[in-house]
Amino acid sequence: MKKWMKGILWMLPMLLVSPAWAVSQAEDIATTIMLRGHPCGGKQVTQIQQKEDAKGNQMIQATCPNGVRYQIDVVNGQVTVRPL
Amino acid sequence: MGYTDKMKQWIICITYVLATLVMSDGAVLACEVDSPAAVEKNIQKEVAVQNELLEDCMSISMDELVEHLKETKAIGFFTKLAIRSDVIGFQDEVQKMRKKNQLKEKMGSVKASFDGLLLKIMALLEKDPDLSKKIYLARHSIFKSLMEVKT
Repeated sequence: MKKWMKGILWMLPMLLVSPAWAVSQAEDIATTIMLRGHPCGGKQVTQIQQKEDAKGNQMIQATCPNGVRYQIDVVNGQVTVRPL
Repeated sequence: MGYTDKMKQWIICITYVLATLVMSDGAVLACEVDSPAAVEKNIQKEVAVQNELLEDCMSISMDELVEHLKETKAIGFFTKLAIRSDVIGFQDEVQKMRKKNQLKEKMGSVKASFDGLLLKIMALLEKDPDLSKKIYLARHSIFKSLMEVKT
């Protein structure tokens, strides 16, 4: 058997095992926005700005494909979304 | 490759269910000479036992499921946090109803709310069908554990 064929056969299981479907942060934020009942108009957000305060609470601002910019607050593990 | 503990558990469960099915057929045949009422009673008893066994097999430990949900790459960090908030919200609702003694009369809406939450999670996990299937199979156990009284 040719070398390149052997190489492909060896790599095939690795390709199958690796999670090719791992979500990006842009997808994650868009899903969170939609999960809270807000329209987004697509599966990915853009212009992500992330801040964290001294208590560890996070604030994310991102723009959806429909043009609406949202703010996501993570306070004590609770996620809230509001349009800006 | 050896069998893992989990695989062994599944094999034992499946064997139990198959054995019960075979035994129930035998029981029905043996009772055919008896009255129809006795046969029906026997069948009902066997079906109940089978359902119980199936239920046991389907109940996967909650800790295991939570770990899988934490580890899955099908959904991101913020989505997981949002799901967690929803589950905590559901539990708080149940607690409020329990305090007001309204839980029994509003059980229908509680169940509907739980089903909605479950569907939402399963839709989000479309990229991880294994976990989605596990959650679906363990839905009764999940509901029971969410309905447990917090101390």
